[in-house]
Amino acid sequence: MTIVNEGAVMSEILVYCSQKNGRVTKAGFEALGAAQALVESLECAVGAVLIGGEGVGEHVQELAAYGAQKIYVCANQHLEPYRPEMHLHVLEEIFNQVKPRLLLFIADSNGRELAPRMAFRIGAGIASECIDLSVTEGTSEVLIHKPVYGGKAIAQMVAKSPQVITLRERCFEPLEKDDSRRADTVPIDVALPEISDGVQLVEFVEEEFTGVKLEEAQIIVSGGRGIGGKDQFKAIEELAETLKAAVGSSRAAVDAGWVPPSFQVGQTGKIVAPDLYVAVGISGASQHLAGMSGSKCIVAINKDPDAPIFKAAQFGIVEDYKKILPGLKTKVKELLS
Amino acid sequence: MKIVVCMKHILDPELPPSSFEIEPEKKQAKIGKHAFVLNPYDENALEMALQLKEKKEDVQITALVYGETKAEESLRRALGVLADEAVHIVQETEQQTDAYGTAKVLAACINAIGPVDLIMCGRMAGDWDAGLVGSLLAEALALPSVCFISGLEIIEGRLRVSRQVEGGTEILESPLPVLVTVTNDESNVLRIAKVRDVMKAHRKPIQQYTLKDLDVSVSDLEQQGAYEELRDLYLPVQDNVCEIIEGEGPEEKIDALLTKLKAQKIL
Repeated sequence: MTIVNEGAVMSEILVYCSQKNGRVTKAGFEALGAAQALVESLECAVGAVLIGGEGVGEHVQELAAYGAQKIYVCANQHLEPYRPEMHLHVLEEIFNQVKPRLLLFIADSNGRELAPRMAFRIGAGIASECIDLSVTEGTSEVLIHKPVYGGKAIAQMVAKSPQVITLRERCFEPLEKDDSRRADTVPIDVALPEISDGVQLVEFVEEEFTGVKLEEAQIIVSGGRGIGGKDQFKAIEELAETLKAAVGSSRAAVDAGWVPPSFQVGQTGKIVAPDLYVAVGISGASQHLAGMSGSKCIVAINKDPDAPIFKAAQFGIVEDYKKILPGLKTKVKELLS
Repeated sequence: MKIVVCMKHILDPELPPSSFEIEPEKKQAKIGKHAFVLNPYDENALEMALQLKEKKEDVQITALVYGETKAEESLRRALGVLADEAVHIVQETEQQTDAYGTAKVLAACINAIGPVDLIMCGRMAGDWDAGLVGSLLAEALALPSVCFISGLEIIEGRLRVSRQVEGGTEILESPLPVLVTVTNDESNVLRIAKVRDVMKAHRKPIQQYTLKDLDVSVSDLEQQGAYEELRDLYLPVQDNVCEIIEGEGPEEKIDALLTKLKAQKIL
């Protein structure tokens, strides 16, 4: 009888590190932090997967500094720009070599599309949009915590092992960066498939942008359905400008065509966690709250005292925003000058 | 050109948290008399299919739902905005299916329907918020996929889409057949059906399949076949207390708010 010691084989947690503009995203470091938090109870090492163009290897030391112990690097000119089919091919190869027990992705646009496809190919269990991971005491079972029903409830689930998991941004703490940490680099040499057809990138249209970026903002002023129109949305932009803040919106304002989709904060928009989030005319649908509830201070301005946004806010003003915003802008200006 | 729009009939995501309850033993949301609706992202997918049909000749749209008997309402809604056909895979009450199971069922049905050029799904369903079925379905059908698209056209037999990503929009091209998942945008808010079309929709036939018809066994979808197991479902603790700023008129409220923000060193 053969005894298969699964523990010995599955000794790693692998983290797929997304890149944007030639850099590993901050969320990648969060995922490494999430993996590090499990290391002790699972007796695992943390491996990072870096797939990209020729220069991708230059990120190795940065990943080590954030807690990657092994780094699987596949650098090839055909791996940039990102194409899911190519990255899946490489990931599958790495998976077969390493046989990790967990494969973590960030729930960003690439991770969300790669994770389920990868899980299917390797016959893994999958759970998405997790906000916390824990290990059931006395076992090595990883319990996945994820919001469901737009954040109105939390589900705890276990996926079939090996597990593929996507992690929501800004829910996990990266390790403190330590440049003295070192990692083993494992070059991955894979014959890439000839893909003459399939999905091809024709063009990347960069977001036209003036002002402060949502993801980087310390203050965000956001407007929702209650704003009432595209022209009225200017009041939000003006207050934001005065506060040196970024402009956000709820899904309703995007669907109404008042602002472009890149302004959307929420579960399927941007996940933000500024010091101050001013929600104006936003009712506070759960799916919006899921994108901003990590803010340090939330101020809600809404004329409906029963709006759910007040349940999430620290300070609330029950009033028509039109009566508040002009005065608020003037006084903020005085305050900051 | 044949398009299948995969849809889900879900508990209304707009249901406020104050009315949302859980049945702890069943680990399910309490349904009660709450409304069920077509998943909002599936509405976006359906609208994009309808717009393509307006621009292009010979487009046939099939709306496909896997759900209990009442899910027929979402199919009637699709017929009301002039989807050409409706297909209902009838889910037994209490039959739990995870994302893998759902993809498996949908794939079996799409194979039964026959050659399809474009499969469209909403990017996620507003009940389990997982966003997995579209990509799993693409794998099950061995098709390429593009996720989170908000624009779509057919140019010389190829699909051209715009995909929203961090920092911008990718323009991608793909041969057909292909699967796409759709995200919300100003341009794909589902149209309102004409009253006359809604009336007609109620008399249109709906093609029904059972799992047995599709050669999918229930045991494939239950315990031994499940890839996810739900352990617990609970309401998050609400410990936040909001301080409502009082004052005589807007001016006073603004002053009071700014004083508080300053005191907390937020401004």
